[in-house]
Amino acid sequence: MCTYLAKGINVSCRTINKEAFIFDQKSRQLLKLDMIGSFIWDQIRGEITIDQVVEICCQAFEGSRQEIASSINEFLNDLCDKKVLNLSSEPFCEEVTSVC
Amino acid sequence: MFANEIKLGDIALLGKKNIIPISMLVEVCYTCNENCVHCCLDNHAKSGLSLSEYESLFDQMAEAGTFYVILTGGEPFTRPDFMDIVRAARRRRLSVTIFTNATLLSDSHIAELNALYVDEVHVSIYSANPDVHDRVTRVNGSFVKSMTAIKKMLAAGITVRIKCPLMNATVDGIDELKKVAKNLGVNIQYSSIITARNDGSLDTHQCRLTHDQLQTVLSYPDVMSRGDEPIYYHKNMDCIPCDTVFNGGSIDPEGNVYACNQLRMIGGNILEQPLGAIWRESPVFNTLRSIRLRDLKKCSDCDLFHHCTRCPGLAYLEDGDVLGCSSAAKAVAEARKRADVYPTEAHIFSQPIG
Repeated sequence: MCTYLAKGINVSCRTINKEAFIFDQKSRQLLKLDMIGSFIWDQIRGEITIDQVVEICCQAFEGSRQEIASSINEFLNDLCDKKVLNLSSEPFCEEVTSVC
Repeated sequence: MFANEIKLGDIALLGKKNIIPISMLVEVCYTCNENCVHCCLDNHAKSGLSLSEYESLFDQMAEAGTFYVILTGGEPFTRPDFMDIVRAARRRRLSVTIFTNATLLSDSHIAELNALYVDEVHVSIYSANPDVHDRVTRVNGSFVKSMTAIKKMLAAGITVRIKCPLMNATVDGIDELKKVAKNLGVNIQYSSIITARNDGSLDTHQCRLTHDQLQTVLSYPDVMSRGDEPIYYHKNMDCIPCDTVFNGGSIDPEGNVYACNQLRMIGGNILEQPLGAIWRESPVFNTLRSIRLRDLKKCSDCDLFHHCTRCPGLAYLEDGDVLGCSSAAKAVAEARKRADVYPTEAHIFSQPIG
């Protein structure tokens, strides 16, 4: 089963010098991602699934698919806990996926 | 992979270090439905760029690294398409703050501002006394409309801040306004200097606090924050007089880019050149960035330096020299000296990076 990803509509963000800064407008918490996390964050646009992100990362970084998938899942769950990322078994509506 | 929490100021420092316009103030129009006695605008005719030009600007901002955008006017809600502009900014993931008098806000505006996760809405309130407020705006009923909108926004969960420029005709009511703000649960952002108009005309100065009123205001630490120690010119000669031209600036309704909405020196126009290129390459901005405290010759032997919060923009606008003395800052510094209080270091200048 596919798991779809979408940045929260509560989020403001910008990637500067390959590091992503994420501001949760609700909690007023500002997060800074490291370079690999920032690379993943920047892939989350339009209609995209976790498997597609894993595939992109397997091509971009060295390591076994299992290791990469495990790290990505842990990272994405952390972002979900921080309420800046949403996961769904259904595709998100265009209103959400069309936001940069 | 890590996601670390950082302070809001850290991103401003990053912008300063890398010359990135992290925060931009955008004047979307000069049209206004109020007619405030102290307004810094010299005309209210400019209606702003088109929606598609703002969409392009927000793309340029995203490219340049802009994180925060302040949308202001004139009164931004005089534009029928203002919510489209807000929506366009949020779609580019910009954090949006709005400066408004709030008199034109409808229930549907408020619902959408909340749904768009607008960061803050700053509303100009001049007094807790409706008559005094309406005499400033020169529009009867404006106080009631602004306060009604503030209450509705708060009920909807929007963060509201009151902006209160202090004037000789309003300052006596400062305690009452504080009570109103406390009851509402909102912060007030004061300013103690009424500036000249953008064309340099000084008729707004008739609204300024008198020397005695300034002295009284200085007794309120929540209105004008204080430092405990004097700061010495000769120990800080390599400091930057103002950060604004490093990590934040402003854009007028014709697309001209300024170092600050008070420092009216144009670096370029976003209809002719991308914001990022203007920000990095403008000779005007690079000259401003090269200014250090050592270049402010009049400060070197000024006995008010310890008490002064000089603004380069006001020095240029009102006194004609970006390196010279600001008469407005001097008047406040004299009041501080009489009261034997010092400003905070953050008010004066900042350390260079790198």
